[in-house]
Amino acid sequence: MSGDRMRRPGELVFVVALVIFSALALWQAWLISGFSSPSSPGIFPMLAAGTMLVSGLLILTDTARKRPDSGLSTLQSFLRKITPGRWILFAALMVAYILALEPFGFLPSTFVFLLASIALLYRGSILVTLAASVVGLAAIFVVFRYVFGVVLPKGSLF
Amino acid sequence: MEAVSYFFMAWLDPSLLFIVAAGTFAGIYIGAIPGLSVTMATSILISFTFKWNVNDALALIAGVYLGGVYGGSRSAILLNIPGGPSSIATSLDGYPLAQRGEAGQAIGVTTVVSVIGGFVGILALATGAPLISSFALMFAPRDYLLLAILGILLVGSLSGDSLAKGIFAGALGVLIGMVGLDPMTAEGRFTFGTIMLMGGIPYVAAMIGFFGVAEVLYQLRYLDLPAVKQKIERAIPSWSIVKKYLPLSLRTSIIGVIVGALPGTGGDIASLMAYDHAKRTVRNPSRPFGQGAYEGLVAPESANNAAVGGAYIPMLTLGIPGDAVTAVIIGALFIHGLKPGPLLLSETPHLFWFTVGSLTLANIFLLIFGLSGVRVFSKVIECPKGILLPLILVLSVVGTYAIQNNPVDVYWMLGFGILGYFMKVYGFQVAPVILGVILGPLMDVSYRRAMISVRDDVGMFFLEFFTNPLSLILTLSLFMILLAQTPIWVRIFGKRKEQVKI
Repeated sequence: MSGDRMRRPGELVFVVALVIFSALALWQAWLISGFSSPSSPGIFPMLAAGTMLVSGLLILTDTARKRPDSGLSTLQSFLRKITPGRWILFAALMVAYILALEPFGFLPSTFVFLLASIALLYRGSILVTLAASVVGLAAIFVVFRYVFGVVLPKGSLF
Repeated sequence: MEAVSYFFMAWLDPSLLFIVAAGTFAGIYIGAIPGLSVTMATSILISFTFKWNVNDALALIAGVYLGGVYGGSRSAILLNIPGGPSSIATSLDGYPLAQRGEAGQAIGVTTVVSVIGGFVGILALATGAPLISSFALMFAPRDYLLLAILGILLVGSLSGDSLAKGIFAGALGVLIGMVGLDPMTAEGRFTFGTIMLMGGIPYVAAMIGFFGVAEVLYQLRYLDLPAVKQKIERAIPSWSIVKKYLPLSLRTSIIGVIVGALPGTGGDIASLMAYDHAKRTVRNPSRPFGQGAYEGLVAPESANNAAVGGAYIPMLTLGIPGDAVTAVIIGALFIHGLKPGPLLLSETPHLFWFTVGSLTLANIFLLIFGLSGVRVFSKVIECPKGILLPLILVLSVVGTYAIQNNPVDVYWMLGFGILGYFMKVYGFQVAPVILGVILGPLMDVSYRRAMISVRDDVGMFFLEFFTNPLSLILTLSLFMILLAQTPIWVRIFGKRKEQVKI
């Protein structure tokens, strides 16, 4: 195992969260049917959650032993290495896009999302950005609506 | 005789012929673009094709799978960036060859040995699957349980940071697969009394989330890698070169088939093992390994395409996926109302022979496209990621929505995508999660059937793991995998572990 590796920023917090989640899952699995019989519906979920908890604790001890990544504070290096500004912006666009699908429908929200995210990531001229969004959207719409016969999200407003 | 007619079905029907060709072509493209994996492509594709007839969908997926595994070699050779995990080993000698100006020759040799590997894999599938399938009827529920655990453990142990992280990821997948109404008693599990959770978590949303969205988020970190342009000359290799590398290609193809057929391990592991095999056995390579040896190209590329046919074997005969892509294909079969397992071959033999036939056809198209479209394909891998990644996200959304037309599925996808990103960043693999999601219900039902068959006697249940010969072999393999990962073992045998990372 890679014992010599440094701890990535935020890794400890993530692993602790996983361990807590596993413990909650184990508790929920126990609530299904307890230990009423070894073939009851709750046993296998308990085994899965228990495996998660045990391996999670092993990962936790391994992670806690490693040295932190750099002299910077955890938050600083987390922002720099794990979620840099562009990542956060893209993730925010993505969440906004998915939430916008229900009210606004597929075509308008996808167009705005493509325009904004290509502008953010590609950083080309406005013309290229616009062209890429229009062509991309048109291709997806035609191919999936007509070739694959897929239903695209319909908005309540449009 | 019937088998022959199903085998040639895709060859004679113009529309199926076109679908296989288009799938192979698209697969090479997708595979060649770094960051677009075959797994991602198949998981998005199955949601688009669920309205199709099952043959069309299977033909398309066969093409994409075979083409995609091969396509990864393009960017490995030209850019030193493997197009997917199964071409990591290819870049070790492929890129030095391109630097020497032999990119065309390298691509040509790669194409030919990939096709050879592909045929060996398909041959193994056609001959091995019926054998295993008749044998599989003797498998008891506990053997299925053991096989499934073995599959998840194998994926978990061979990649990522540590075995513990692999096990965690697999168990998380199993847990996700448990949500919803219990298949045996219809009791709610992890539903918190909500109707929404009673139907379970849609596994397509999990697949696209973990393989699509998480990958897009991960690729954002590598947006600014410069593209290197290569000059490419003629690609069709001479017969003497092919003849020279044929023995090595066949040997490593066999490694590929075996590794592919093991539940859980696919082309990525196969290609690394084949590369290692070539390094140990080839005495006088054309150049030292790592500096542009053709042997270092032949071995992994034969193996990873051979692993495709191999990976289909446990999937079609036991319902246990051979790798992440076949896990996704099992999802596709479920959607089409089919149940992969030992009865699939006897109840729907046409499906099996059709799959073998379309894989063979895809392999032929691979040879044609691979050797003719060299210039076209090398243009594509220069496609800017800043445009590509947003489009993939839109495709993921459309694909997830298409299955049930339910916006909630898209929210699940988003959540899994973000979770998957952090898992990847912190050294967890996401493939065991998907294997867990697909295998979880099978494991649960097998476990309970095994337990019921011994009348809930826990001692008897464990005893049977050692008294039945087949179960004993599987149990021992499980222990071996666990043992091989412990620090003591590593220290004694000094086994170096190859990091499988992208």
